[in-house]
This record gives sequence, C-alpha cells and structure tokens, in this order.
Amino acid sequence: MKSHVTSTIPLHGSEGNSKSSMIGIDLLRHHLNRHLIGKPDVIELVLTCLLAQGHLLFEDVPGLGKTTLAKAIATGVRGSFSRVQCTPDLLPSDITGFNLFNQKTREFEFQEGPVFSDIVLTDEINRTPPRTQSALFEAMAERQVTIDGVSHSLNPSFFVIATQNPIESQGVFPLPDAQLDRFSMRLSIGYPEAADEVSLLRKHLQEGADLAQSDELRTPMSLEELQAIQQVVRRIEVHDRLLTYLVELANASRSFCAPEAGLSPRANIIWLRCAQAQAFLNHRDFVVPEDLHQVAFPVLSLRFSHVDTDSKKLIERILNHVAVPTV
Amino acid sequence: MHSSELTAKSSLSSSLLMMVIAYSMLQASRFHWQVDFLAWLVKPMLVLFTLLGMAFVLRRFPVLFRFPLAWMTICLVVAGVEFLFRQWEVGEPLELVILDCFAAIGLAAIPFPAGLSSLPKVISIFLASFLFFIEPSTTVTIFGVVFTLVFTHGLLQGYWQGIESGQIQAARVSQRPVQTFSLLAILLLLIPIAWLANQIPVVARFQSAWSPFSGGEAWSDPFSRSGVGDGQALVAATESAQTEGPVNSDLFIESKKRSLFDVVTDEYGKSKKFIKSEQNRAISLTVDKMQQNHKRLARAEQNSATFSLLRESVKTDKRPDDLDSDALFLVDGAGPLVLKMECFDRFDGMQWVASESSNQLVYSVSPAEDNDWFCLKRSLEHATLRSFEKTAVSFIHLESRDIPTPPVVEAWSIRQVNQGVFYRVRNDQLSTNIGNTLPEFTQVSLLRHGFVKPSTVDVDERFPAERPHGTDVGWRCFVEAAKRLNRGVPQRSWKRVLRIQEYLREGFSLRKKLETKSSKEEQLASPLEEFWEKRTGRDYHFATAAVAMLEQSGFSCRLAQGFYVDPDAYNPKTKKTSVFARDIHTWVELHVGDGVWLPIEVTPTYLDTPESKSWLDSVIEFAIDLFWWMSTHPVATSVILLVVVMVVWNRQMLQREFWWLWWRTQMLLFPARSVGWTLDWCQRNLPEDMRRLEHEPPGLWIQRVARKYPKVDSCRFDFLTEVNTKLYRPLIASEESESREACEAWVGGLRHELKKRSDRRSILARLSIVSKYHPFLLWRAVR
Repeated sequence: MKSHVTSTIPLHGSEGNSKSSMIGIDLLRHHLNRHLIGKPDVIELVLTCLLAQGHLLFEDVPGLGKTTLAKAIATGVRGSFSRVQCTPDLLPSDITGFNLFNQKTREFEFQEGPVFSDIVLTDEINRTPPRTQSALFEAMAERQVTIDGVSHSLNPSFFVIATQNPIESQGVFPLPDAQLDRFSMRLSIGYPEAADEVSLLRKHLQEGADLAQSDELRTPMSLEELQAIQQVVRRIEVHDRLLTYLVELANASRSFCAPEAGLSPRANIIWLRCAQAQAFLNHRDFVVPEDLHQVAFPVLSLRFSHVDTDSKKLIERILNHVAVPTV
Repeated sequence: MHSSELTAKSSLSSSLLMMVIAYSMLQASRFHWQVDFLAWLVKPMLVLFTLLGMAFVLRRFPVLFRFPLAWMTICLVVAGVEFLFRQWEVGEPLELVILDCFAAIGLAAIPFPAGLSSLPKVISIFLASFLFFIEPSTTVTIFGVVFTLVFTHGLLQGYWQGIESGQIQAARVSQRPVQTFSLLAILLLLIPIAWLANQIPVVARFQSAWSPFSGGEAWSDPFSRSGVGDGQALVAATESAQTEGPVNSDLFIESKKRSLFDVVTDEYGKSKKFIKSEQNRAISLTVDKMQQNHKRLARAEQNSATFSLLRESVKTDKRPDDLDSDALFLVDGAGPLVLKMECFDRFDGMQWVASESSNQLVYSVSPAEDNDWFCLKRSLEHATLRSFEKTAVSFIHLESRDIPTPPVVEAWSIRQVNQGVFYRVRNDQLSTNIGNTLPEFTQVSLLRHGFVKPSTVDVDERFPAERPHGTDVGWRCFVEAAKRLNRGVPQRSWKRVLRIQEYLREGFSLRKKLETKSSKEEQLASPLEEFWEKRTGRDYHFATAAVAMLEQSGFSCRLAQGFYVDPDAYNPKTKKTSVFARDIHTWVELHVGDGVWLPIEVTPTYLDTPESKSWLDSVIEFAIDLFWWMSTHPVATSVILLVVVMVVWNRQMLQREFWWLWWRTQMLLFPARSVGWTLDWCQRNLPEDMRRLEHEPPGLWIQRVARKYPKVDSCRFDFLTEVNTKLYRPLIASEESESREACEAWVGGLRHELKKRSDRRSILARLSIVSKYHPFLLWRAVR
C-alpha cells in the first residue's frame, strides 16, 4: 500500500521544512498585504509570478503602489532593490552596466547596472526607446547580461517589475512582442476601495515613515528561502493529461487568431510555471485545471494585447473551446 | 493497493454484470422464436428487476456490501427466478446458465493478462457470429460459455484497467455504463437479425454451408434439412437435398411377411380374417429381430402365440377420441422429421434385404429397477457429439394389450428436443390390465443432433458401387433410363442426382391405393417392372428405382425406411406431433462420403422442401402461443403484467435506483474510481443547469453545485480534494476509506437535496393508484 496522500508541499522531503516554507509564504503574503492594502488578489498573482520565477508588467496609472509593492517584495525577501526610471534618453548601459577604464590600474572595470539587483523596478518602461528596452531581453530570459563579449550572471532570484502608463500615447514606445513575451503576467492594481483607502491613509498617519524601513527587522523570509521555494515550485507535479490540455489550449489560440499571434511554446512554459506556483499557493503538490484557469487571464492577456479583438473574450473563447480532461 | 489486488477486485465486481450478460447470451443462444421467446425476453428482465430490488435492500443495509455473500445471494436469486420459471414451464431448464454464473465469478478472480486485452475482442467477433448463426447444441453451448466468460471478462477487465491507468481518455464518464449495455444490446440484436436473415434463401444456404452441423435447427428454416450428416456434405446438398414429405397412408413394401403395420394395428395373438386388398402389406421388422430385442415378444412366441398374416382394418370408431393414444409416439416439435428405423442395401429382385452391419444399434435397452422407464445406455463410440446432455427419450404408454409394439424403434430427430422431458399418454378407456406377455411401451430415442455417423466403418467396402442386386427387368429399365439421363453430365456430379430426382418426380405418379392384380401376367411381373410399365407406384417403388438409377450414376445408395412426421400434424397447443403407423415412409439415402448418408426424396407429391413459414405466419403463431400461454398461466401473467405496470409507472425511479446501484457498487469495490463514478452519477442526476460543462474544471463546478445545494457544502472540500487527487495527481495513491467517505458524504447530501425537490410522489402513493385499478388487487380487496 502506498503512502497516504497529503495536500501539503513536500519541501526537501521533510514535513517540517514544508510547513516552514508555507509559513514563510503566508508571512510574505501578509507583509505584502500590509503594504498594498485592499488588493489580496493582486498580491496572490504577484506571489505566483515571484514563485514561478517570472517577471511582472504593471499597466496602471501612477500612484497606485507599484513602487511600494516592488520595494515591499525586496524587503520581504531581504533582497537588493533597484529602480530604473525609464526616459527617452536612457541608454542600455544605464540598465545593464558598462566597462569603465581605470586610470590607476589601466584596466577596464565592469560597473554593474541596476539589473544586478534581486528586485528591479523599471518604471514607465514604455517611455524608453526600443533599443533600451531590448537591453532587458537577455536579462529577463536568461538571467545574464553580456557586455563586450563577457557574460555576467544575474542573481538567481532576479525579478523584474515593469510598469507602463496605458493612458498616454505620445512620447511612448510600445513594447515589442518579443519583449512582452518575456513577461509572465500583466496586472493592473487599480484604485482601492474607499474603505481600504481610508485605512491606507490612517496607517500612513500612524506610522508616518517609510514602511519598508520599519519592516526590515521582521523580514518574512530570506532570499535563500525564496530560492528554495522556487525550486520546490518547479517540482510541482503535472499530469500528462494536463500537459495535453495545455497544448490543446495553445492550438486553439493559434486557430482563433493568426498563427503568429497565438501562444508560443515559451508562453506555454510560463503559463505552466505560473500554474505550478498557483498550485503551491493552494497547498497542493500537483496542478489541477483550476490553477491554469486562475492564471490564464494575467498570463494570456499580455500575449494577446496586439490582437484586434477583445483579449478577455478571446481567452474565454479559448478556455471554453477545449474540454477539461477528466477520466 | 497492489495492482494484482486491484485487478482481482475489478474482476469480482465485473462478475455481477457478467452474470447478467452471460444469462442473456446463453438464453439468446438457445433462442427459438416460437418456443423460447418468452423465456428469453422475460427472464433477463426479471433478473434485472431483481437486481434493482436488491438495490433497495442494499441501500437499507449497506453493510451487506462488505460481504461477498451478498453477491452470492444475487446468484441465488437468479436461481430462484429460474426455479419459478421451470414451475411455470417457460423455456428450457437453464441449470447450466446458473452454473456459468458461479463459474464466472470464480474465473473473474483470476487477473486477466493485460497483454491479451485484444484477445477477447477477436474471440468475441468470431464467437458472437458462431453463436447466433448456427443451431443450438451442446458444442454451441460450450462455446457460448467460453465466449461469455472470455469476452465479458476480458472486455470489462480491460476496461477497468484502462480506467485505472488513465488510458481511456476519450471515454466520457457519462457514457461508460451506456457503452457496456449498448454492446450487450447490439449482441442481442443479432438474434432477430439472424432470424430474419434466415428467411433469405441465399443467407440460409450460406449458413447451411458454413455450419458444421446440419444446417440450422429451426423448423421455419426451409433449408434446415439440407446437408444431413456431419456437415461435410452440406455444400453439395444445399437446397435440393430436401427429402421429407407427408405420407398419406399405408405401408411401402409388398410382402407376405409380418409387418410393422401388423404389429401395431392388429390384435395380437388372434387369427384375423384375410383381407385380400391389404394382403401385400409390407414388412419393416422381422420376427427374428423382435425376438432379439424384445424379451416379452419372444416369450409370447414361446407360448405358442403366432403371428397371423391376416389382419383387419383399423376400426377407428373403437378408438378413443384422443388421437395421441393411437400414435406410436410423440415427437416434440413440428416436422418435417425423419425417424429412421432400418436400412436396406441389397435388392433381390423382389424385395430389399437388410445387411446386419448396416443396422447397428446405437443404443441398448435395459429396464430400470421396478420402473416404468427404461434407461438408454449410450455407446460412446457411436456418439456423433460428445454431449453431456441427456438423451431425450419419449415413452408412450399405450397401456393396451391390443397394441403390441415393436421392440426397438430408433428414430433420429433433427429438431431440438427438450432434454429431460418425458411425457406419457394415458388413456383410461383402453385396458389398464397389462399382461406380462404383452409389450406395453414404445420407445423412441430422439437425439438432439440426429444422425448417427458410422465413422468407424469403411464405407467403400460395405457399400460397393456395384452390389449384387437381383436381375430384375424393372431394375434394368431404370438403369438404362439413368444412362440416358447421365449423358454429358460428369461422373458423380450432383446434377445427375437432380436429374434423376426430377425424372422420377415428373415422369411417375404416386399410387394412392393398392390395386388388385387382374391378370396372371401382371401378377408374375415384379413390383419394379410393374412400376416401370404403369408409371405409377408407391414410395417404395420410387425409392427402389432411384437406387437403381443412382447406383448406375456412380453413387452408393441404399433404401431407408421409417416414419415421416407430417408438419401439418403438429399440434401447437401441445407442441408435439403425433406419429402414427400410417406415417411409415420409404426413401433413398445417398452416400456422400465418410459414412454420411444424405436422404433424397424422389416420390412425387411429397414435399421436396419443408414448407417455409412467412414472417407474418411466424408472428401470428407467436401471438397464438403467447395467448395460449397467458390463458393457461393466469397467475404468472398477472404477475408479469403487474411488474410491467410497476416498471412503467416507476421507470424514472427505477432508472435512478439502477444508477445508484451501479455507482454504489463501483464505490465499494473500486475506491480508486469512486470520484469518476461519482461525477458520473452527478451528471446523470443533477438538473440540466447544474451539470458540469465540458470546459469547466471540476473544482469550479463543485463550487457551483455547492452554492445551490447547501447540504453538500460541508463536505465540498474533502470531495474536491479527492477529485483533484484522483484525476490530476500523476501517481494515484489514495486512502480508500477517505475517498469513499468523501464521495459518499457529498453525494448523500446531494441526493437528499434532490429528493426534497423533485421526488414528491412516493412509491406508496403510486402503489395506491395502481391498486385502485388493477383487477387482481381489486379482487383481493373484495375478498
């Protein structure tokens, strides 16, 4: 007789570690909810993206807490944080870093850019020209940058949070499809509810200081713990029939819109990673169809942004077209 | 759970369904349109309803599920149904079926190798055809049992294994039971198709040629008599091999020796007035043979009782009204039927001589201890088929000292005979004071498959083509006629037989009455010569002429005599045919090789082929049978009608209970599949808008259902966990009890909710409505 089924996550094969990892995640969730009040759904998706080792694109108006959230993540995992305010004259080397000639040593020394932080916030990414946007290609996809023929590895927990303003149309450079495909999700925080906004103001009055600084002493988890959990998420099991289901969904997307606009295999991989993270957050060690459905809209809407039809309707159509596998 | 353990459990579970299928299949294999239709139709239905009834019981006492005895109880219930039907005399005894069911359960415990999963399908294709297109027999029954076990076991087993390994992805949950039962329905549908196809001559010929037996057993089959023998000669025989026809009267061979007719119809031991017109009646059984085989007759001779050549006509006015009492014996079923008694292979110019070797007895008779019945000891070396069925034996007690009977009459029937059915005819008007010196019985042995095949005999030596027949003038005339007919036709060609048959049937006429010879010249002429000259004669003459012509054509043939059962004499009420002495008939048998003799009918006005019934006639006959059965079994009819009314009235409830039983069975024995079956159950029972959409993840659907039915909300999470674990966890390893309890709790709550909403009329209320109108219950109320 085989072992009893448990719904908890086996971390390093130890039940104790499993519990501690879930406690860490709960603490991090609580930590983020304290900083971004009234947006638990967004927090869940952010956590999903973080655990799936993806990158996040916020499409929102300014002042809704994007930077706060990014900083909160950085402080929550005790990671380094850097912010890139994208402008039209921003150069790629301003992001990736560059080689500086040292007059004393008469050698070139590599000056690391902001991408070498654990959490990178690229604010208003669509204000910078495409060549600067492209500087993030390699970093986001392969977690390394190559400068003057030398590759430099980024931190294992490298996490990009980019924002863009959807309402402005002048002086902006829309992200190319290749760039968009490297993001895992596109989220919108949106305005908080009135009650949440009141509590937000009250909290600011009470604490009166930068929340991130006050949280340094009670960090939910360490960077190493986050990386360990990310490795666990990668091991979340997926049934073969769900893999088939995923492929059928991708095929459906290619049939409903132009083949080149359908889901790419990389998009499928990202979707699967997000579903694994979602299963982890639901205290499961295997993926179920609901996980795929729950992350479908943030993951897919990013990839159908250039499709003429309403991306939400298109996603619903795709999901309704393919039967969920049951025995 | 180990896979072998799981497999064994799967087998045990499938045995239940297998039992029903086996029952139906074997019933189907013995299907006779007129006789067994009721049994075939009603019995499986009753078994099914019994199972549904047990569903109610098991719901009340779910602990029964944990005992294997519950399943054995179901088998016993089936046996009980069988017993009741035997009491009502519907259909055939089916002890074998019951045994099959038990055997199926035992066999089902053996894990079926997964590598042989395709084997049952291959076997099923062959055996399903084999089963439905040939006549029922012991061999067929054995094949049927094997087929049922292998097919159903393998099919279901492979199916369960497929579910467990997640291979059957295309199958929808809601279709699974439908698939299983629809397969059964399709197989059962083959029966009327086979019956209808049998009405088409081409198909019937094909069946006759394909069948390893005698080409079908149904009396409505116009070609059922084609290819008598072991089947090797069936292709040659085909439709022209029909030999039987009604016999009008009288005997066939002209002789002054004692005849069977004498034995049967004359008063024994008394001198009779010589009646010239009937002087030349024929012989079929010699005194010597009677002495050999009938001790009482021998004692009679030792007591100086003599057999007279003189006789009187049968005084029918003295006979009782019951015609059967005048019969030699009864045959179960309708004709045409040949009851062969004796064969002759040499003609001495005046009469035929039987050789000792050609009349070997297959059976020996020995009296049982102080019993009316006699036991037949069967000689295995002569057995055509190694059958475990008892040979059907009919004893007719004429109980009259006035009707001595021949010592041994052997008859072979192509028709199926109810095994183990003994019947006797009593006639109180005849003398019941049976003397010791008189034979008091007629014994007819009816073999299920008819024709005995003397396979151990070298045919060519026994029956050379040129036999020392007498130098009769008439014989030579027919030989010359055959030579003319055979010109241009290949040697031993079947066309020669057809030409000879046509020549005799069209060129000669049957003489109805015996004629008194007028002149000396005519008296000196041999019977065959007279037949040639006058172109008219009795069946004996036709058969003798046919032998002469066929032997000239290169065939080995012989003369056979016996009884012919007239199909018109069939009594549908008693389902029996009376065979009288006047049914004595003579025909010719053609040796077609390997000891197989093929009967050929050359006598005109006799039916060349059995009369085929139209589809409408069969329906009418079935309706008459049905009405007769209903009129003679009022209690059974009332019960069946009541059951039908109840079923129709409560069909929705029965359907629901059936699926509940199905679900509950799967839940118990296969916890690994409990989730799938539960989902299936819900899909069938929930309202339309609450059923899971195809693209809807189970978790979201369960949430939706729980919102509508608060009762199930408490166990929603347990069930959802089970659903997700069973369906999407790559390695299935579940705790059975937890799974079952989660499913049961959830579905239990769901059933409760549904019942509150939809099932407002209780069974009791419906019963009261029925009792208000049903006459039987009204009658009870009045009393």
